[in-house]
Amino acid sequence: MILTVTLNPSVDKVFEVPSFGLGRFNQVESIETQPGGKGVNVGLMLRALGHEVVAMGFAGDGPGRFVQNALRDAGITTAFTVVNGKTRTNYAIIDPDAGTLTQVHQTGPEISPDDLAAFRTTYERLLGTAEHVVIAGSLPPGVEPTFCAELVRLATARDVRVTLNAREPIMAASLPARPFLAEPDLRNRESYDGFDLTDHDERLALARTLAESAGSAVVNAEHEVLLVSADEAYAISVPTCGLRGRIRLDDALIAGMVDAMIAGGALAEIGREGVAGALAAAGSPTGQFTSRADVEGCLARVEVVPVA
Amino acid sequence: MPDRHVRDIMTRDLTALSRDTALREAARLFSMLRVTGLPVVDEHFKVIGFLSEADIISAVAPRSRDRSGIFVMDFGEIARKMGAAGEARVADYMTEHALTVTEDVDLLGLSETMLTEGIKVLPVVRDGMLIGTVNRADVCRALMEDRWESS
Repeated sequence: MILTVTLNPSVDKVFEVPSFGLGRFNQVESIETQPGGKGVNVGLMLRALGHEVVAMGFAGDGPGRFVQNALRDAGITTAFTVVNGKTRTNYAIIDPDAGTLTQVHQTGPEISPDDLAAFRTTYERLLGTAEHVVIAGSLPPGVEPTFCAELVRLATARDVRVTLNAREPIMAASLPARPFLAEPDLRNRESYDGFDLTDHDERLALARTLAESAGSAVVNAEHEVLLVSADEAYAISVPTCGLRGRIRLDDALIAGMVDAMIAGGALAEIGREGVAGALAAAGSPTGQFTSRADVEGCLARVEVVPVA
Repeated sequence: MPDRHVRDIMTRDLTALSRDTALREAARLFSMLRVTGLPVVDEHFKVIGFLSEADIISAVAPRSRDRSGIFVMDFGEIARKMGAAGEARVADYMTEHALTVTEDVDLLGLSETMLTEGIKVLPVVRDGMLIGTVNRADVCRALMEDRWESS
């Protein structure tokens, strides 16, 4: 069983607004409503690959109910901690004319110390049957990066591998707990921990630095995925993808990588399947791949280049 | 109808209580989730009991019927008013050795169990571990769907 942790799930509303303009009236062409939050997306794609998935996180009323129902409809088992506030709704505005993507995100419900304790109890119970844990996404108010680090520590203490995809403060707090694979969330970032993300060599240096703590590290920026472990390093180019694909590219990458890790693939194969997943997702209207055939169909397009 | 089993209609959710969960917290969960009961599990997700709305009502207000003789069922209100009873633990009021059902039980067998035992929700277990629940609404939905398909 794969356990996905989405501490701050969301309902994602994607508006398509041709010629979108700030400060004026805009007419929506279409609206899509999807369950969201990085861990939720990864879980849905792992389920599409045939894995047994249990999804955890904090869920409030309203949108939280929608997210859980959508997960269960996909055949995923839910084990969310019920909180009093409302799960957030995130908005994305796609302007097909201008080729722009505008995102507006909410912070999420306030999480109490009791909620944290309840979550931890469920998490520890589920670790007993988990073969891999995916922790991905942002933290709602009341959840500190150290909580995330604790989740990584609890899993690695039981020899359960963790894939972590999160922003810098969470990553920095959690790296000492040694996740099996660490991928910093670099969306809308030009630098990370002093490394210039526009420069290939600096990105590689960042990946190597992360891999000193984690078992392996992934740096995905500037249409290139760098995958590094203690004794191997690979670069894989990721072609530019459509606006919808861009929202969930990392999530598809992670789902593909986790699938390959569970199959016992070597680092190069983990990277190959991850990027194939990303390509498959980028080519789908929802930004997610929906079957193993989708991913396998993209494997041949992925070129994995060893890096010295 | 004979081809449908618990696995086809169950709700794959693991929301559960622990022996030491406060009764007040259980009432909050019932209110938030709009459920009539939740399984009680140990540290390995093994089902060790069941707590129903009736268990909570009997704990808080043994005679909490209104003048029409109908139970007061606002769990949000009950949770707020709980006072001393709110400090009570699930273990003190749960039904131990609660009935469970496995995934491979067919719809007819499940319906019979629910009716003869007067049960609204049943934990679904695999090797004794909780994997979800099945309630009367799930059964009704399945029967309705079968009805539509056969007519």
